Amino acid sequence: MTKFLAQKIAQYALVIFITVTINFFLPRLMPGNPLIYLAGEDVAFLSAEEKASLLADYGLDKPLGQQYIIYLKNITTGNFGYSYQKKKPIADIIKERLPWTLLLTGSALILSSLLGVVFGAAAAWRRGTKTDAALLIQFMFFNSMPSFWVGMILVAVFGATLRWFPIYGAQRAWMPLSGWAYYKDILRHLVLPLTTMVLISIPSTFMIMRYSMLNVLGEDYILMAKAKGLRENTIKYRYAVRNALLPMVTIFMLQLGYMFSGATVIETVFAYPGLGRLMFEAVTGRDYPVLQASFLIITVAVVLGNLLADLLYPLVDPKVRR
Amino acid sequence: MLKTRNFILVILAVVFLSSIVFAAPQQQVDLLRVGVHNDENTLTPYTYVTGSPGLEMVYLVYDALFQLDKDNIPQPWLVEDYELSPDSLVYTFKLAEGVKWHDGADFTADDVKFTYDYLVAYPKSRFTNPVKRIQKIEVVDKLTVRMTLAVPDPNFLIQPIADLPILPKHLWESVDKPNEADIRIGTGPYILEDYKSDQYYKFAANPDYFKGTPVAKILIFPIIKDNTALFTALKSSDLDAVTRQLTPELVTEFERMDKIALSKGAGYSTTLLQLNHEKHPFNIKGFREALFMAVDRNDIVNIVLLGQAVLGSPGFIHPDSPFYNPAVAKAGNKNKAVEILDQLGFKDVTGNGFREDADGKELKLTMLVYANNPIRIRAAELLTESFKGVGLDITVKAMDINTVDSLVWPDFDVTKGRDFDMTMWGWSATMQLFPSRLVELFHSDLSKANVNIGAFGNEEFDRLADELRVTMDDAARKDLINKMQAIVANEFPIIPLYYENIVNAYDKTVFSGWEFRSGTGIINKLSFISEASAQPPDTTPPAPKDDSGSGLMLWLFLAAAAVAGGFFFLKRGKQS
Repeated sequence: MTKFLAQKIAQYALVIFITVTINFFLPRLMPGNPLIYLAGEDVAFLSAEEKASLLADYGLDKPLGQQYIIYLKNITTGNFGYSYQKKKPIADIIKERLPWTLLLTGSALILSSLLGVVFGAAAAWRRGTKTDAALLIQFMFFNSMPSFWVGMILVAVFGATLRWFPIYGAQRAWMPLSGWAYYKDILRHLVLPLTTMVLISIPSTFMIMRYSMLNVLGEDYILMAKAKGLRENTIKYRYAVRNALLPMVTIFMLQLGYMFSGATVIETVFAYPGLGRLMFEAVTGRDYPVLQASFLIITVAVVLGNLLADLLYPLVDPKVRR
Repeated sequence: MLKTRNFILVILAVVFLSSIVFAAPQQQVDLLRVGVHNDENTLTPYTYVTGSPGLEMVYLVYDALFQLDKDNIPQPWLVEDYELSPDSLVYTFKLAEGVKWHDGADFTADDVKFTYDYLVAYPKSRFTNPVKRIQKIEVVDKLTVRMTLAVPDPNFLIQPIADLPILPKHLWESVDKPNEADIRIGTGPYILEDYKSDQYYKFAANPDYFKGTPVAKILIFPIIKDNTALFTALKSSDLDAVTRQLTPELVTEFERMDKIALSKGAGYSTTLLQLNHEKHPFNIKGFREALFMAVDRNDIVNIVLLGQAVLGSPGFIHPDSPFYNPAVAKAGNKNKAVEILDQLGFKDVTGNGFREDADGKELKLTMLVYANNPIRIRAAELLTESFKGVGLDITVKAMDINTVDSLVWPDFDVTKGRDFDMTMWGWSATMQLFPSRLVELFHSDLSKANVNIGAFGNEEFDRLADELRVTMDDAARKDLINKMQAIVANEFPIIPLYYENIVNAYDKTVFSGWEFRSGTGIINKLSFISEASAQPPDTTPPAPKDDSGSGLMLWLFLAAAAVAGGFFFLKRGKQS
């Protein structure tokens, strides 16, 4: 077990190093540079020396190799640097955004996994019936829907027309709220983006769960259980669902990592201050340090998710225990 | 009984008195919510990002010595009175009395000198370059400052005087990294109380503002970058105004809404087709003329912009500008284009439907356009259709902004070359604000012409441009600018397409005191202060808007969802 663990950790460390390197070079291979964000709108009227000194202020005049060494050094000391666009230390920016992103993607992950499992199991159990067809069609429908479109429909119906929920932002913080009112406000702002995200992420969990459940239902021990005359719910939940959940565990762990990448499109539609939007803007603004930092966080989170899946899977599935 | 009568008397007295005391000539609202389409960082002269809305928001917190009025004429602001020496070199500014910083400190001439010196020590080019024209700044007394120029400068009152926000010396003198400074103290009409990156700005009215009354007690600028979300929020009364102007296709929809009012006017941003003069065949004047003639620019204005634009003047300067030369107007003519191309020897030798150049070489050109700008993409496609009509093979290529910029204007430095054929391009309103920008756009000496991205050159133009630099007399300047426009109109360095009109929408049931500034629209400082010099005493706190009703709706919704869910499972159970 220890050897297995050591091997895994070494593998993942290598993966992280490679991605860290790619994270550094990839943004710099894109055409264009962050000058317009460093200088603001008056970049047109800068002299060549002014531009050079501006780049020098941010260490962008040094050879790429040297910048890379500095970048590696900074990573090991936890110094993410300074955003060109926001003119703020990146650690501060991420600290501000991360809770919102995790609130949105985390609750979406939990809700969509639960609902996906429940509906997936129900559909497989009733394979070929109208229920199965209805669920399948419904989730295929949401699966093929672009998320911004779902979001805009929800905004138009529940935000603009019915006026049940606010349509932008994560909180109406300009009115000082406290206690229960504060949480209620955050919750109300969360409803529409969360619904959008759950709607578009259920289908994948649903399909996998349904397929996995169908496999299990074809097993001999289910037939045996039926032959023994066990109660239907016992067969369904204790025999079938429990075994069908195994692949879901892995998928859930992997998605845990992707939570950190936020939800760019949904965050944009609802003006939600998350990491996804930050990253998107960093790409358009060639904000290298922000790109590096957010890619790094995602990489580490995904790798940790993988590691977790590796470690936890033997616990839930005795077949692969060693 | 007596009690009741006393009570009524008191009420009457209060009503009577308040009708005197609160008889403010202008409307002041408790809360005004303006959706802003860009995060402008902390609002200091060093950290804001865009000219509009960024710098306009900076002016809510700070004041400049002068302020542009709605016709873009600089008017004294922090300055009470000023004198100009007969040689147009020495300006003596008498500052307004009794102006205080938001922290209560007095505003003095020292702050002015400090700010101007600081901008030289820590450059921020928009402000620093104009400030550098000042040779000497002296503090004469507590409220008098004198500035001496090396050469007369006709734009001096616009930039830097009406442009540079004055910073408080007592807070900024210890700052040596202005890009990281988060100091929010100004003299302006609003106090920046809260800023949450990518969420919102919250301003409170400055109760002691020296020039008029802030129109809103609390001003909220939620940051909403998505256009659809921004306009939906305005429609659904979640916002009272937005910084983004209406796109042409939205104008009729908003016009029909009862609570919405539109403020329309000329916009000074210029959209044009930029040509690369270093590249064959754009170095041939006749070819450029043929391009101009091949296009009916009215089609673009009518079809793509639905009429919400003014046709581009061949001389670049907007017809509403006092410097516009009406003699340069001309229209496209397809037959003329064909005639010119034939004369130049650009003929279809291969018979593939497209012309080859005079040497019989294949002529395939590419037009770059920003991928995030649907209007420009549509205009570009319409243009290529017209070019096809005269036998020119031009394809549109939509790419990410940074990529287009790096091809057209590498490192934003025109001396570093260029790698494109033609591109859809736009210049912001400032290009029209100063007619002398024509020099920077078209002078062949690229070290002087920092926005001549097509590397155009013309000797006669250069001669006039050099003369303009040293001419102070208004009439002579106007004459030179007229001649320069005529050259631009005859040489076709660019193909000016249109100036998109500005259409601002706002909720008139909440606030309607918006001031439309020509060329830039309603989002400007003047909209946020009423001209009344006296301010009514104000003791009532802003009433927060009640939202308990929608809270109830949340619970109803959740309950309905729970019931529906339960029902679903009950039904499932029965079936099995």
